[in-house]
Amino acid sequence: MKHVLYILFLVISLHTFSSVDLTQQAEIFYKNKNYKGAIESYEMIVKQGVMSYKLFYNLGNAYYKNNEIGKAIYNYELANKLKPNNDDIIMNLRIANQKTIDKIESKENFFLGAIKTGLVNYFTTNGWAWLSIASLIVCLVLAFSFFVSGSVSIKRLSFFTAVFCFIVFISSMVLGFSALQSKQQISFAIITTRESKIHEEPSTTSNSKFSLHDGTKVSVIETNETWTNIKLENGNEGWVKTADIGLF
Amino acid sequence: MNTHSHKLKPFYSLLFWRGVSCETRSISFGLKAKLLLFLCFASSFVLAQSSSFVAQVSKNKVAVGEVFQIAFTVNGAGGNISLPNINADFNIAGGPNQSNSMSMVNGNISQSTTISIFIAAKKEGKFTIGAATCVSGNQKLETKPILIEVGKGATQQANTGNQGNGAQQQTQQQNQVATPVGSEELFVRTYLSKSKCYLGEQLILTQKVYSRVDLRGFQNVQFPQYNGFWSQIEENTKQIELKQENVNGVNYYVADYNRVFLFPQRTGNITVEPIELECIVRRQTKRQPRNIFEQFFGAGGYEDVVVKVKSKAVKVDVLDLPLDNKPQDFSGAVGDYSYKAEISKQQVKANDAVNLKITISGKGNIKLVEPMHLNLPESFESYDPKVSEKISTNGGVSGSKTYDYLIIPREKGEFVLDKLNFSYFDSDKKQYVTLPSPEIKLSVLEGDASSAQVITPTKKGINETENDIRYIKTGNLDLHKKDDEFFSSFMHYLLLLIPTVLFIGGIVLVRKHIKENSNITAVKERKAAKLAKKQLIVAEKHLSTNNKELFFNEILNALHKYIGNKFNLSIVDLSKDKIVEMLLSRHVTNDTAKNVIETLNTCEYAKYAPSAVTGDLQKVYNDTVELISQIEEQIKKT
Repeated sequence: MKHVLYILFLVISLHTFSSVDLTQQAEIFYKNKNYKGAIESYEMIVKQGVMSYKLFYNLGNAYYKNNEIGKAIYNYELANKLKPNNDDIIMNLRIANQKTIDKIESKENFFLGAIKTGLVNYFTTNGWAWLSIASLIVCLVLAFSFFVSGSVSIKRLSFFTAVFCFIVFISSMVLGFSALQSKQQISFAIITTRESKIHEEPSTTSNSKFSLHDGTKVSVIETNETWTNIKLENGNEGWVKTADIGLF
Repeated sequence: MNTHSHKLKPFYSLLFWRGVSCETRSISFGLKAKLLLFLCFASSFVLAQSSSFVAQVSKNKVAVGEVFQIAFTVNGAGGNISLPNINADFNIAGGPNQSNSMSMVNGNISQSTTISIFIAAKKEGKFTIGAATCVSGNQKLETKPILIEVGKGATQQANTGNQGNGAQQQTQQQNQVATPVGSEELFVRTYLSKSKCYLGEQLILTQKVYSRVDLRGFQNVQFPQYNGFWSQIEENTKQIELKQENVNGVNYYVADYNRVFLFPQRTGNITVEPIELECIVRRQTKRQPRNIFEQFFGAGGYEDVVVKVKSKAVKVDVLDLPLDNKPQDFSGAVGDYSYKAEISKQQVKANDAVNLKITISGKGNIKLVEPMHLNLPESFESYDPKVSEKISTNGGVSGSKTYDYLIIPREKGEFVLDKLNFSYFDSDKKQYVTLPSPEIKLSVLEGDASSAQVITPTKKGINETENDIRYIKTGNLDLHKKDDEFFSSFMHYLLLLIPTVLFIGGIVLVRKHIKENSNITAVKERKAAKLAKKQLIVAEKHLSTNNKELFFNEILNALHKYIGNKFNLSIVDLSKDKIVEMLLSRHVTNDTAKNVIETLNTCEYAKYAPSAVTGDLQKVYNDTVELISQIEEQIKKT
């Protein structure tokens, strides 16, 4: 019984390695160019079930320095998903993408689609939430002043600004919901192994159509524990082992 | 390529003079030998010759019955030559003949003994001529066995083409004008120093012409295209030298036609195309002289024949340079280099130019070495370097390349130029070598103001820093649980709900207040006249009892209350100016307003001095009623 308790204690103490300690440790590893150590520490933080864009960004950096481009890009994408339009993430992602092997001709992005994704990614979901709250408060304050004020000019001004704020509120809610959806939905994957065979069917015995190399971004059509149906930007489709990719 | 030779240490070499008997060679070491050696030096006959024993055949591919020669040659001193038994497979057609030769060049005496035998094979097959032995000094020398391939007899005619054994030359000689030259007798071979190499590593390509005929020269040489290589032909100032080389027991004259240094520029299997050239060969004509003069003068006895020869294509497998530990500043230099950096001045004024001279010297693909990227401090301006190179191709491409950078510091300060490392791939050790930069210190003094005006700051450096990824985020990572999404969470909705509720509540409250307020004033306004009338009825009573004081008091009260109620004013606010202002603002006429003030004045006056009041009380009463009804009417109109 004593032993069991002891082991239990050990397990718990291992698990409760404070993430602050691990962060500091990883930082030192990274500074001393021990990238493997940094990766290990950051991965331990990830395993604790917590996340932040900084964590994925740092982990991506460590993988990049350790020459694991696929995993680096995957982590940058995760970071980008948590915090769109961050300069550092976009820059490093671009540099890492230059090192990928596969060059796939991408089809032209539709103009409206590009605008929409651009708008949705303009803020994080949290950003949209706060924007909706702020715009609603301003809208209500103005509406109140519209009702209360005796002056016609103030009434007119507050009416129009209140309407504008209300539009902002509605659109921030709509865009926030679609940002939330794209955040929770798995729609892309990054190849994280050096070379991965793309099969015609979800079984190892089926013919492999082509192979992809680490760092390549693909769209996900459907996924389960062992196989994932992917689609390339040039329209090619196939099945890849889920273990070979990082979904996000 | 077999060269059958056994070299002896010079110590065992002995002076040999024609006619000296074998006993001389068996002198034991002692006084006699020392004396002899001494004599030998004293008389300046320097003996620097080593003995070798070689067996040679004139052909190693023969036909049955074809006569060929086998020769055993001792270079240097040798005796007791015992020949191998060849009687089993070969008929002896002539010999053995022994010949001795001796020459003395610049005091060096060389001597050789050759035993030659003419033999012919008895039957087809492969036969080995065994080793011959001889004794030279204390050493027993042995030749290497020679393999002879014997083909079919006279039916197999040697062709003049490229392959075949070319054996039956003799039978053809009668039919043809000049002796054709077989591939056995004249061919060209291409040698590559390596069959596997790294990208950019130096390969030596040698074109060798092998000949057993009288080679007079070359023409129409078609050099291959060295596709996939950067090539540098060895400059050859010397004449082509002929050397002897033994190929499968047959002696050839070999000319190193040319040497090319190749540096592969791409990976994979690269084929070096063959070389094609025409050799001019002098041959004896075997035809009969046409006339007596020809016969007499010997004209036509020799003729120059042009023979086309072509080597075989050679393949080389080019490997990519290893990716591991590849230095960042590596720019493709492969070989063995040294590196030097010098600066012209240690101290310089700002805006004055300094020369930075970087010299890279060594062996390898130096011509392809890229100029280094200078990581200079930001206030430095640099220009494209002046490149000069000295390259020699003697025995491999080597030389030095000098980059002259002109640098202009624009700001004063102490600077250390570092990070000027030079990296190359050492193909022998198969690893990258980074030569560290020598530390160059430069102190920049304040410059002249006049020259400072031409500053054109360089903006190059800014973009180039983005080649590496940005640094990690340090400090707190703002970690949060995976599923705590704020958007659309309870908190989010609560924060949306609270202001809405507050707003609605506020509106309701304000509305209620306004309603209440507006109710009171409206009622008051509506009831003002009524109340005033009630007050006036009281006044009327006082009128009937002729109580002046009370009468005026009531009239005043009635007016004050009426106006107060009508305009929602308290009694305190009822100054006369305010009353006029209010009346006029509700569009009451000026006259009415004046009358109101007059009536008020009259009443106030009468209130404080009732006895002084004269005139008709009834009229005052009527006027007041009239006034109130007038105000009511005028307000309603608006």
